[in-house]
Amino acid sequence: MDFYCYDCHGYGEKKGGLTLDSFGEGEEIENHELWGKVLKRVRFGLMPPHGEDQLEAEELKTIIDWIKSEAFEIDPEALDPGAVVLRRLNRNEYRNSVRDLIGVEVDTDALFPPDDSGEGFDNIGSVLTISPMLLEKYLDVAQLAVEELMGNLDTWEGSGSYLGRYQGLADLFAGETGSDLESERTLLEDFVSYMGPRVFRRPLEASSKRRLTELGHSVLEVPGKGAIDGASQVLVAMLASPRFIFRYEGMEELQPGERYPLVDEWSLASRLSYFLWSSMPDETLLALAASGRLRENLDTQVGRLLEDERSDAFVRNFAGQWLHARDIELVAINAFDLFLRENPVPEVVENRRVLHRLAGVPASERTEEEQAQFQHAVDIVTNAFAQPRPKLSSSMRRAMREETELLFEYILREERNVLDLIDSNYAFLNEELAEHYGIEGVEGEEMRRVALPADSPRGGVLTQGTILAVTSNPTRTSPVKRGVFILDNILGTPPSPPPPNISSLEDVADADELSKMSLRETLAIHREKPLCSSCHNQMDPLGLALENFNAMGRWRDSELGQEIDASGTLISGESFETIQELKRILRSQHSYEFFHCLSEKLLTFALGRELEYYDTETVDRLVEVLQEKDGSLQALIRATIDSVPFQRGRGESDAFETEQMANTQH
Amino acid sequence: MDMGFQRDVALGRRRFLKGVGACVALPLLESLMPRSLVAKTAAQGLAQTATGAPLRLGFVYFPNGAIPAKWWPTGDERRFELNDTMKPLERFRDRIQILGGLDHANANPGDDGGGDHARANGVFLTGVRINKSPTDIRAGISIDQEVARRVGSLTRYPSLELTCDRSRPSGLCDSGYSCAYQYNVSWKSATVPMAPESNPRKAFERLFGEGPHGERSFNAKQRMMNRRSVLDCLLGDVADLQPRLGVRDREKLDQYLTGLREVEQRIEKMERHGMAPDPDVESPSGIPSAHSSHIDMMYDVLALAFQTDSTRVATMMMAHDGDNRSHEEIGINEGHHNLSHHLLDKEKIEKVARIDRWYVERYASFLEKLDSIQDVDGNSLLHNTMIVYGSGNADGNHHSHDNLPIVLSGGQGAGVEGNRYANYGAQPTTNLFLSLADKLGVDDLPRFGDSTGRLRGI
Repeated sequence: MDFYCYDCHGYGEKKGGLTLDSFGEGEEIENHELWGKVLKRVRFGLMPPHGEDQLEAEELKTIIDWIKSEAFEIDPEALDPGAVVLRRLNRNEYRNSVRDLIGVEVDTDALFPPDDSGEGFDNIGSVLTISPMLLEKYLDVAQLAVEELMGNLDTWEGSGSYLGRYQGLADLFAGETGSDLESERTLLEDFVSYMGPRVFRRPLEASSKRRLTELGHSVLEVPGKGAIDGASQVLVAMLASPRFIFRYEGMEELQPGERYPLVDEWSLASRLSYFLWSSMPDETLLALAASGRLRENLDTQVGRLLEDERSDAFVRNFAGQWLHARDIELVAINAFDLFLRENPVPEVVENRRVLHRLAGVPASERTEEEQAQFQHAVDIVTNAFAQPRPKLSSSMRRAMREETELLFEYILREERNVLDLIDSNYAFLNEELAEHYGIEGVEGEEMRRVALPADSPRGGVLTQGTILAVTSNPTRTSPVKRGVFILDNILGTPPSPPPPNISSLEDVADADELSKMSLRETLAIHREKPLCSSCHNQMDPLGLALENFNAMGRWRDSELGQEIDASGTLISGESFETIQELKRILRSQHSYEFFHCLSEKLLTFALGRELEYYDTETVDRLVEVLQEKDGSLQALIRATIDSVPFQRGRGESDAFETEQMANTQH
Repeated sequence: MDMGFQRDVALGRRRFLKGVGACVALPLLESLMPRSLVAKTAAQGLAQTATGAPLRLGFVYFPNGAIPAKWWPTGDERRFELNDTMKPLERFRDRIQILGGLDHANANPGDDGGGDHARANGVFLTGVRINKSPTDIRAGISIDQEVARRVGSLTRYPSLELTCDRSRPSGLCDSGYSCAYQYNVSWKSATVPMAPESNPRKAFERLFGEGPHGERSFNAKQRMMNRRSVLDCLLGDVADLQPRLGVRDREKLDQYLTGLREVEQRIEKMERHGMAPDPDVESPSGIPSAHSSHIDMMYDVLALAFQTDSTRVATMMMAHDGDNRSHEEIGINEGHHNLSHHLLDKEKIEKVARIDRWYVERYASFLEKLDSIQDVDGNSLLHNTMIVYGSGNADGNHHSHDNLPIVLSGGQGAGVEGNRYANYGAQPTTNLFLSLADKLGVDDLPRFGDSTGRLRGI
């Protein structure tokens, strides 16, 4: 370390704010965040910087091992599984679970406020809160779902739901109102016993069973009400219960030699199903859990879950959030502005400026000359606006979202290498999208796999409409946002946020100069400043490499009359001329970073919590699986499910420790 | 430049406003307000004016700060000229105070680095340093909730939270902060944001019931009965689970329990004071596509909520900080946030100023509505409502949080002066919050957030 690091980070030097001079003193060693950063920079070859003496493989391993065992105090034999905060179902999980339970689709996107997200996903336990308004909505939506069910029994298509499979369903309906109170009471008891463990995804406790049954029975007291009314009321109470809304987890007993217990099989069933289906466990999973045989059949079950069409939810919710495909349907893009940037007819551009300027002046205050100017400008701009130009229609947005999802799904189901997400020689298109991308020979609305021409800039997610558009501003591309996106989501090396108190660009160049510069030139100014350069050198080349794609993902050769130059040099030293070359470099030279990034994202989504320093070893093992199994997503999913944090919890010690923590804080 | 929006604006507005107009024309509005509530207020001296009318407190958030050179008036405390952005408020000059020199030091980066938009939002009403984490959310109780904690029992709803952000992006939010900070301004506690309602129809129905006028009371009552029927059962489940959970898990369950308790209390209030009023207006539509209609409809709901004394505390976000929507309605196609980093480009500055003014125009028409509605004491609703209009960012170009753009409107019924442009030098914005809480009779707060005292002269 002395040889490689201390010139910049020691002997009083502290480049990038890091000094290792106090290294060895307790405080520095316990700084997990610091060592997390060092670990990433070193193992991804970002440090020592390109051009300096590089670490030998053996030395690198020594450093990595030291950080894991000494700084992080990770015991590879007994990994800390961490603590997942009690998760409530998010709106997708709630909708899917209600569908699987009673065969009713509730439009939770309209009925519930959006869930807060953290770490890029909306299933993070600590972030999913319940405000009083949301609680009200839970009560009302439970009622609504049951009313929906009872009101539309003629057209109900719930035979595949738990309720649809209930043997006693016919008897519930057949029960003549008030005919035989005792048999109706028995029917309700049976109903509670059947639905309870399913709605709550674990055995029904006696106290719960008693309350629910009493609730059902109380309805029978009301004149004119029968067993079916009681059952409805019971269902509402079940769907509004914290036992349904929260994913309460139990633990197995700690076995001799174990430091952390396994989660019980009911919890495992839910962890599996909410991970891969964004929904509750099905009958098979619950039955296996009931007989305590889920763990021994885990591999078969994972295969079954992945084959089931409910795993489409995994594609939509994991890939849709990770790769931001969800956002394409909402992103604001102004097609007219884009068109003018690529076709800058001076007359239109100038008159548009006039129009905007004079629109701010009330008509009564305009001079005669201004009024004439204004009218002229209106005519010119209106005429230009009426000309056909490429737009981002809603059908195109949908096609883009599906393109991203289908690529991910294809890789998942056909066991392709996940590196196809970075670069592939095929894409999923329909006619409209193919035309948008300038690819010929695709006809019809249906999305299908298309083999791309050898020199095509498409293939992989980086040049898909989704990512290109959601990382843009409404009127132009943003190379910085695109660069940050790749660092965040592909390479897994998020740049630090801009440092506070940086001098702004206008201190470097005046407004006039700035307005004449291209984006590339403005960004170049950034990179000259030492404070900005370390991050901008990382993100700018990545973002600028995508400049040939406009804000809605169309190819262009020039912008504002200037030819686009997509070439660049990565911070790791590789140079490229085109996006095709960059993708090849990323795929061949940076698969390690990508595997890391994907493993982290998947583990975060699977666990519903932010990853911590003690998860380093788990992630490393996942990366090894990807490396050994040729980037198999299925292998990664299985390894994630087999991992310690997925299988275990902190158990009893958890409640104790957090209690201790809270006490010391107050 | 999409021409479709105008029709949409017109339709959306007409549908709903027609009704509100009819309502406003009613001479005696106390008919909409349960008398017993008014009496109760007077007895306690909380959240009421000297004339015995309810006193309300509202906060309106606008995104990305304002161009300072176009925002701040020229002149002195009593004789000043409104600047371009605030011109739409000219007709309310004697009902507003423009407050300069208020800061949110906790929104500055400090050791936390980037994330000024998350902090602008998260600090705005809390005044605390928010925990920089994507998953471990910790802010502080916001002033509206602090006040609601005390006066909330007087009304059917302790507080109301509205937003005009229709959706949220997936992925990461501002620079390592959880999205919770950026899409909420109201916090019930350090860890529980009050998720705001974005759908005007849902906001309306929550207050007054579903269905057309005449049927709402019945529907609302039915809803209460439905809720009540399962309450005991759910409370039992909570009691079962509670002892088994660790501290952080129990906190989640407590949020659930708090919600149940509030529902319980609302049912009790209903039984004591009777049903919610049923305003003779058409229910608003869902979320309209034009941003202006969305904002205006939300203001209408807010005005009705105050008018009917459904609540005395409310927050409304016209958009979250960092909002990058384009304002095509006024011919500005670039994203707002993007423009706000204008780098001194004159054209961009001018456009941002127009957006700033557009937000003020929306707000001015809200004030106009409040001014046109007569309250129980014969004064206008505006007279008996204090509203803070502001942003957690001062100058969007620099992400600064000093000298925030803040206007206090209305509240003359509580002795708030108008026609005032004050410069407080450099004081925490939370000092203002303490002074406002005092006015509502919540005058025993020793401090709030980073406060250093009360703001004098309000």
